[in-house]
Amino acid sequence: MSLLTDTIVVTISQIAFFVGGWLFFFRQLCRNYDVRNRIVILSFALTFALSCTMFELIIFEILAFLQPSSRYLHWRIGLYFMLFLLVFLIPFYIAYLVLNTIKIVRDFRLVLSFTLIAWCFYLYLFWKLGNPFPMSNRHEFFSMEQCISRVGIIGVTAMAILSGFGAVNCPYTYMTYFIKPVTEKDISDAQKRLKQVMEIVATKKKRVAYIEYENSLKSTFTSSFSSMNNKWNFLRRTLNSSLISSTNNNLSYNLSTIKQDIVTYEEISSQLYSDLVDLQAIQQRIEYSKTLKGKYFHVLGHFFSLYCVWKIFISFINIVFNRVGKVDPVTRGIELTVHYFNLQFDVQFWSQYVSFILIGIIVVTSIRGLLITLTKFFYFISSSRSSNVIVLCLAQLMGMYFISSVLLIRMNMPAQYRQIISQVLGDLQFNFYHRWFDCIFLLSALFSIGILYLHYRSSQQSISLYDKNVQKVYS
Amino acid sequence: MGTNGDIPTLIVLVLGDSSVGKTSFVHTVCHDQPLSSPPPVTVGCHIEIKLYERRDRHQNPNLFFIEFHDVGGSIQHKNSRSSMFYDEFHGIILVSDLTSRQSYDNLKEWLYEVIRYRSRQKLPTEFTPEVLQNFDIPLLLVHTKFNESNGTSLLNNSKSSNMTNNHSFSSSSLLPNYNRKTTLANFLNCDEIFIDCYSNKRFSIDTPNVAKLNSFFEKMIKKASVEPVEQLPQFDWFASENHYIH
Repeated sequence: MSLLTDTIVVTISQIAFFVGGWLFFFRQLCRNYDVRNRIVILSFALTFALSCTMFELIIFEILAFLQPSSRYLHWRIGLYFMLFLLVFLIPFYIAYLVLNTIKIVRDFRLVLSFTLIAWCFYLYLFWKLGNPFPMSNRHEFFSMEQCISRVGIIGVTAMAILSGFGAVNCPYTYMTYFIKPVTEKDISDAQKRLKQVMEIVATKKKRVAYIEYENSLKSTFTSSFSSMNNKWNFLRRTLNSSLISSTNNNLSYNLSTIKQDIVTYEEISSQLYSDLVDLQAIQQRIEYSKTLKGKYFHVLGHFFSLYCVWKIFISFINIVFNRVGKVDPVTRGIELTVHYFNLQFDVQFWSQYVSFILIGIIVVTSIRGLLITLTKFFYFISSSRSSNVIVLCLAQLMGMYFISSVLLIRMNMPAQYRQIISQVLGDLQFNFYHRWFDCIFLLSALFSIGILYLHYRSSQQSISLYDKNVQKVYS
Repeated sequence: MGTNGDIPTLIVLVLGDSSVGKTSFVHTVCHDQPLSSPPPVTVGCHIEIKLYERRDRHQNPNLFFIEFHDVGGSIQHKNSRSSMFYDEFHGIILVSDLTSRQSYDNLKEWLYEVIRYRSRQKLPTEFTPEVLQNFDIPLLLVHTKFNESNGTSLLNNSKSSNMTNNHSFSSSSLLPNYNRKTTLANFLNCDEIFIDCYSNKRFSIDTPNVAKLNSFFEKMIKKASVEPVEQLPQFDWFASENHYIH
C-alpha cells in the first residue's frame, strides 16, 4: 500500500518535471527556430524529467521521506530508463537525422540500415572508451555497472570542462567591469571607428566597381573595332590593344592591391563590430546592476567568484597532494567550528539538515547553470538547418551530466547517505571519478584562462591595427 | 579618379533571419555569378556595391552606386544593430527562406524593428498595421532557396505546405499562379522575387527578376530625388516632330 502511494508521489513529480522541461524548451530554446519534430522535443523533456527525478530521490533520501524499498525501486527504474534513452534511443535518432540531412540516399529503408550500422559503430566506440580506465572490480560483460561507468566518464568529463570554463569566466567578467567601467564615450568612439572603416570599405568597393565598368566598356569598344576587316584597322587594333594592355596592367595591379586592402578592412570591421557588441553588453549589465534585482545578483556574483577561485585552488591542492576527501565538507566544517568554539553540538543531527540545504543549493544552481549554458551554446551554434540534431545532442549531454553529478554529489553527502548511491550504482570506483573530475577541471580552467587571454590580446590588437591602417589613409 | 564625387550613392538595407541567404543574394546581384560555396555567418554589416546603369530617353547612361548593407541576422546582436546600421538608407530588401516558414513570419518583425528605431517614439511591441501609414520607403521581398522548397507554398494563405490540398480553399485561386503574391507582399504593396542563388544561370539573364529589381531601384531613385523627374512636354501635339526624328 505504501508502495503505491510512493509511486503516485514520484509519478506526479515526474509529470511536473516533464511539463517543466517542455515549457523550458518552448520558451527559452526555441523562440526563434522552429523545431517541429515531436520525438526530439519528447526525448529532451523525458531526459530532463528523469534527471530531476534522480535529484529529487537524493533529497528524499536525506529527508527520509519515503520508504527505503520504494526509493530503491524508483532509483533502479529511473536509472534503467535513463540508460536506455542515453545509450540506445538518442544516438539512434541523431544518426537517423544526420543521415537524412546529408541526403546521400533517398530510400527510407536504406537510410534505416545505414543508421543501424552507424549506431553499432557508436556502441563499439562507447565500449572501447571504457577499457583504459579503472572501472569496476567485476568483470561481467553487459552489466549495468559497465554502462553506468562509461556514461559516468563521459558525463564527468563534460561537467568538468563546463565547470572549469565557468569558474574562470565568472571572475573575469566581474573583474572587467570593475576595473574598466564602460562609458558612453567608449561606445560612441567604437561606433565612430566602425562607421569610418565601413566607409573606407564602401569607397574602395566603389572604385573597384567603376574600374571594372570601365574595363568592360573598353573591351566592348575594342571588340567593335576588331570586327572590322580592313588592314589599316589591323594596325590600329594592335596599337590600341598594346596601349590598353599597358593601362590594363596598371589598372589590374591597382585592382589586386585594392582587393587585398578590402579584405583587410573587412576583417577589421568585423572585429570592431564584435568589440562593440561586447561593450554594449557590459554597459547593459552595468545598467541592470543598478536596479534592485541587479544589486542582488551583483552581490551573489561576488560570492560566486570567490567560490570559483577557491574551487580551482582546492582542486590544485588535491592533485598535488594526492588527496581524496573522505569526509564531506559540511561535517568537517561543523566539526571544525565545534572544536574552535568549544560548543556542545550534536554534529550528526545538524549535519543532516545543513547538508540537505547545501545539496539543494548545488542541485538548483547546477540545473540553472546548465540550462543557461545550454541556451547560450544553442544560440551560438544553431542555424535553421541543424537545430534538431543540436537539440538531441544537448539532451544527451544533459542526461550524462546529471548522471555524473549524482556520482559526484556523493562526495558532499554524509557517510550514512552515501550508502544508497553506492547500492544503486553498484560497485564503482568512486575515488577515481573524483580524481578524474579534479584533473579535468584544472585542465579546463587553465585552458579557458589561455583562451580569455588570447581574446583580450586580440581585441587590443584590433584597435592598434585600426589605428595603424586608418590613420594611414587619413594622413 | 573623381568617380566617387560624380556618381550618387543609394543605400539599401538587406534584412532577414540568420542563414536565409542574404549574403549569397547580394553577391549574385552585384557580381552576376553565384558564390562557390555558402559564405560564413555575417558578423556586423557586409557591404557590396553595384553600379546601376540607367538610360534616359535619349539613351544617355546615368550611373548610380547602389550600396547594399547586408546586416547579419543573429539574435545576440539585436541591440547593437539598430543604432549602427539603421540610420541612413533609401530602401529595404527583406529576405526570407522558402524552406523555413519561421523566417517568412519574422519578416514583419524585422520591418518593425526598423520602424521602431526610426520613429523614436515608444511604439508598442506588437506589430500593428497602423505603423505603416507614415512609412513610404521602397520595399522588396526576396524568397531564396527556390529549388529546395516545394516552390510556391507561401502563395497559399494557410499554413499547410501541400498546395493541391488547399487549392480549392484559397481565396484568390482565380488568378493564375505567377501573378499571385504572398500575403505579406499584398499587405506591404511591394514586389517580390523568388530566386535560387546558387543556380548556374547568370542573374542578368533572369529577366522577370531583373525587371522587378530594376523597378525597385527606380522607385528608390525617384524617392531620393537624386534624379529630377523629367517633365513631359506641355504641348503634346508637338510629339509628331519627335516621331519623325527618331
